[in-house]
Amino acid sequence: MFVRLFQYKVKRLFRTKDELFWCLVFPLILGTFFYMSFGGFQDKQETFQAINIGYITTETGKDEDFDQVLMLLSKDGKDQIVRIKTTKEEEAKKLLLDKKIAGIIYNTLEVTLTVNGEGINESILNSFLNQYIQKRETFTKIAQISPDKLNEVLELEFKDSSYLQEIRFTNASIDPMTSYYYALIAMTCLYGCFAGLSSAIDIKANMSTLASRRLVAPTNKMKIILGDFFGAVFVQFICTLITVCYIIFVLKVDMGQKINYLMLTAFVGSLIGVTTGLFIGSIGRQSENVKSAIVLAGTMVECFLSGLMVGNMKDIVERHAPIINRINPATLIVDSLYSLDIYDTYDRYMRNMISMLILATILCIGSFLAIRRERYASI
Amino acid sequence: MSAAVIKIENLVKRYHELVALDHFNLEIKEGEIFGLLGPNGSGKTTTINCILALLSFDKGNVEVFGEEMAPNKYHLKQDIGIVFQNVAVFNELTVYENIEYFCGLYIKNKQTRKQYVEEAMEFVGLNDFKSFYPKKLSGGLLRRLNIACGIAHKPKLIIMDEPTVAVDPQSRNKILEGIVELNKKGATIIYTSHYMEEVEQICTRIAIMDKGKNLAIGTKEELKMMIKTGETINMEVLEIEDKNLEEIKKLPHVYQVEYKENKLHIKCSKGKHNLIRVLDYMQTNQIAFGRVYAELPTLNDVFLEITGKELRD
Ligand SMILES: Nc1ncnc2c1ncn2[C@@H]1O[C@H](COP(=O)(O)OP(=O)(O)OP(=O)(O)O)[C@@H](O)[C@H]1O
Ligand SMILES: [Mg+2]
Repeated sequence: MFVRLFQYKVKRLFRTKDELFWCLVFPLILGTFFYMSFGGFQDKQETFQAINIGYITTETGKDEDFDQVLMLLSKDGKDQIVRIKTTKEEEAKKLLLDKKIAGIIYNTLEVTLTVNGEGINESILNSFLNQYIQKRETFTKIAQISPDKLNEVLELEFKDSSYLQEIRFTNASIDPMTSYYYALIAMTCLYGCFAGLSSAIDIKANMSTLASRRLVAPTNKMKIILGDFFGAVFVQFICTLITVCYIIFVLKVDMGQKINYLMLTAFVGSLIGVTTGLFIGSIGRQSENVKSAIVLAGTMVECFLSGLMVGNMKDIVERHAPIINRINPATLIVDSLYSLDIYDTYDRYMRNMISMLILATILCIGSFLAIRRERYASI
Repeated sequence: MSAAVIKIENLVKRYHELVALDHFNLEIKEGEIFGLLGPNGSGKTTTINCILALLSFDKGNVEVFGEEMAPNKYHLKQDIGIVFQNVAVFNELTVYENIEYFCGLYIKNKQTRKQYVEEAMEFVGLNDFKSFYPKKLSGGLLRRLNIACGIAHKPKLIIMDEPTVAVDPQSRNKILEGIVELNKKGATIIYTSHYMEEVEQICTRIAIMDKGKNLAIGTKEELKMMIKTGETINMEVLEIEDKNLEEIKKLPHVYQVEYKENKLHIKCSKGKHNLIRVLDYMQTNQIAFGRVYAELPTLNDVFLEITGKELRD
């Protein structure tokens, strides 16, 4: 029975023109539009922007080698990786607070790093420093144990790598434009709200005759709603996957290698999109049109705050009202994708996923409680 | 005596101030085609929604198949077929798929279901429209689809809320015949309609309701017996004086005389030779008249007398 209901819901959704437009055609058009306005992504190595830092050093006790390496990396030109904005501590601290620089590197008695935030630039600096320190230890050890080998090792080291390659955690694309595509994927997921909304309306006897018709059948209400619900999630998932594939394979945007995690994100994202619609559909007695308008407007606001229209919106929100970023499903999706791309570890990704699952569960329970009612006072 | 399929006792349903059902009583027996007649807003749909346990009500009892009805009484719902007043079909599913969908909520066996769906399609004559989407169907065909979705699972009790609105007379007849056939095969039927003729044609018993109350109940003959009018005599008369009208009114059994648009309507209570007496009078008084015909009371007359208003406005 459940399978039948599921199949019919899927069939119905794929035949609903509005649904297909919002969940499939619109994201593809928007993606293409982004592509045309940002241009291609082939040049992203060149477009890498040097990271602004503050560099504080003292004449005594500083690590000379590090000093040299940093000077090398900050040399003007195509390969420039860091740009030293200031060497004065006071100014550097001020710049750091204003986010004008990504971090302050101290080369005093010890090489240390102070950052403000957890963006990609901060991560690069952090990794770079760790790598340096680790290598320094290694070389020092080699020098102590077998000094004659040191030259060989050093030669090898410099031949096969540039620092840039090494400090990358993954093969991440660090083009800031990618965040627009993340937001686009989030939007596609969240458009599941329409399918969720229709699932709710089709089971509320005071909102549609179709619901009355289904409720007088000898089929459990929960079974019907679950069939519809998972049908909606499935369709939304497919639409999101198509959008993701279009972005990766047609627009050739680099989304990293973790395809299975990407799919998991798309699934959980679709889930939360559908539950949002289900919830709005379940509560209150506004007409279907009003509810559609509410979910559409809500989704647009969520997407706006996650950076669909203004790229760094997410950071702005993070500074002024971080709580919004923790509960805005669009931001959670964007941040999941972002952290997949940037980090080797899955801590932040998991944090986002769990937030989304909790949110979805709350919305689901709320919806089911609202729908559960057995008889209506008025139809 | 056959068992009561539906038993409604003292049902009261309020929508805020408005009392939609006011101590409404009804008993429907197995094998009946029961007509529920009432003007707009009299509470027919409300009654049906209460029977189906969709609506909560303020007072009273509703029993179906001898058991109190409740939303989770699936074994009762299994045997009920419903055709709602508003068409309830999925726009994204074809005619066939729609019937299959609703039938599937009742019938688990795939083979049986397929057969039932085809029979239902045959029954309402939608075979040629099997793969049409509802949007492409005319109003009447859509109604027929609505009916098919309601009865495909061969229920023992079929409730139809004005199923033939907007259906052309030919298809309507076919549907009515179908209903009689369903009834012959054992289904009990509740039928609400604004079309008096339909109800007269097929219903074995009729209830007349207004303002949430059951005003009269019985077979059509019984109902007609209840009212004063036995016969209405209509004649075309070009001119007639008021004096004559007064005198006609004084004839035995005549209780109402009306003259408008060159037509004379004389209502007589039960009794014999009414027509002859009227014709006699006309000839004696040398009043010229054209076509003459006598009418037996219709349900409309019954309705008019009981509720004081026309059924169809
Ligand atoms: N949801 C509702 N809220 C408030 N009043 C309602 C509601 N539904 C029906 N009513 C009122 O209850 C009364 C009975 O309505 P109902 O729909 O049962 O009439 P009906 O006999 O089916 O009429 P019709 O022939 O037009 O279908 C009407 O006065 C109507 O205005
Ligand atoms: Mg009605």
